[in-house]
Amino acid sequence: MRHLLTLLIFTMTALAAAAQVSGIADMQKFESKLKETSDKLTSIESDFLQVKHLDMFDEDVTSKGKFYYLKDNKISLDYSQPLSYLIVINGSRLKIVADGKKSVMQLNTNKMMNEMQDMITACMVGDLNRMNDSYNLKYQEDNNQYIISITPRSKQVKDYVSAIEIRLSKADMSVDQLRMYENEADYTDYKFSNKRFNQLKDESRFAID
Amino acid sequence: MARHSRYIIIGVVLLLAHSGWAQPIITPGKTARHNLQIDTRGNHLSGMMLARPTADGPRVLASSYFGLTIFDFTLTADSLKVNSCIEPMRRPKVQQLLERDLSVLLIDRNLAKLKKLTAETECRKLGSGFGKSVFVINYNADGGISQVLVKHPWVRLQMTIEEIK
Repeated sequence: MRHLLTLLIFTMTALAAAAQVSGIADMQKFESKLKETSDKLTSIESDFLQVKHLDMFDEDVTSKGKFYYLKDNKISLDYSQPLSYLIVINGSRLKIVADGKKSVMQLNTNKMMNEMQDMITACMVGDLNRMNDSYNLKYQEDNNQYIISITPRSKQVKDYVSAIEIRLSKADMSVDQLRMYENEADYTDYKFSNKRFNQLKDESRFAID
Repeated sequence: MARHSRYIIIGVVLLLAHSGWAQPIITPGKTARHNLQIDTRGNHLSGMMLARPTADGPRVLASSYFGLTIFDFTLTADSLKVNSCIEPMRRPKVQQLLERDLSVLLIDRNLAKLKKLTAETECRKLGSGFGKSVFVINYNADGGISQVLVKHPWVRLQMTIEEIK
């Protein structure tokens, strides 16, 4: 009985230690790892699972698809579920293909949209060097991940995204999970898996025209 | 059998239309999800529409597929309660238009006048001039709704709503 109790206490202590979140102990190491990874990164291909949590609904809304990134400013989210849907960001242009219809938007004509695009691109790729003075950043870590909480200072941006939490894998500094809060209760999670780095050469999937 | 069921549905719709019972086009439910497309002046927006009943009235939320909320409204007995809404949709005229459309869709289709009813299509109209709304409900062979179109011909705005299976 005493052995069982000891084992139980040991297991609970180990689990608590693994989940414990605290401020980043070695900030210099974190910054240099982040810079090194960002400098070497040319592309990302991965699967993603998107879960929108709405406090008013009993069930979360789940979508999934493929995520592609090509340096510097090319992102593609190719949704396969629940519907086929494509989002491409290429520089300052945004393309959406839904129901066979294509719409293209110029992002740099609207300051707020431009800022949103910069923020989303930086967060999905984990390139925090792009985050400027328009955001408050808080750095934390647990045993496996760095956790960065980002709060926009602009009220206009906050109307869309009140806060973002990025979880970077300590193993390769890539984004494991991104959580975008619209308010305190509602958020969307993006979980990235099966990541492949620096293998994507074909630019055609980022074509806008 | 399918043909018979169509006539039964038409009969039931006609009966209910004259009975005074509130008949929503889309019944707000726990997990009812719809693909929502908005076409206006050459622009195409699309996302997901969710609606569920609450004590205050149906609550309806439209979200882009990327996950950002476009609008979140509650249709109370006498007004539209805005829970959240993106900036371009904050104009009173846009919200008035949406309130009317959503009331017909989610509370009672009889708020709009029945113009045509066949086994395949039901057409309703509401208002006139710039406030004119046309509701076209397309039915499947089994009598279920395959697609709902809400058209505002004068402001060149069309919403297409289809259930996500």
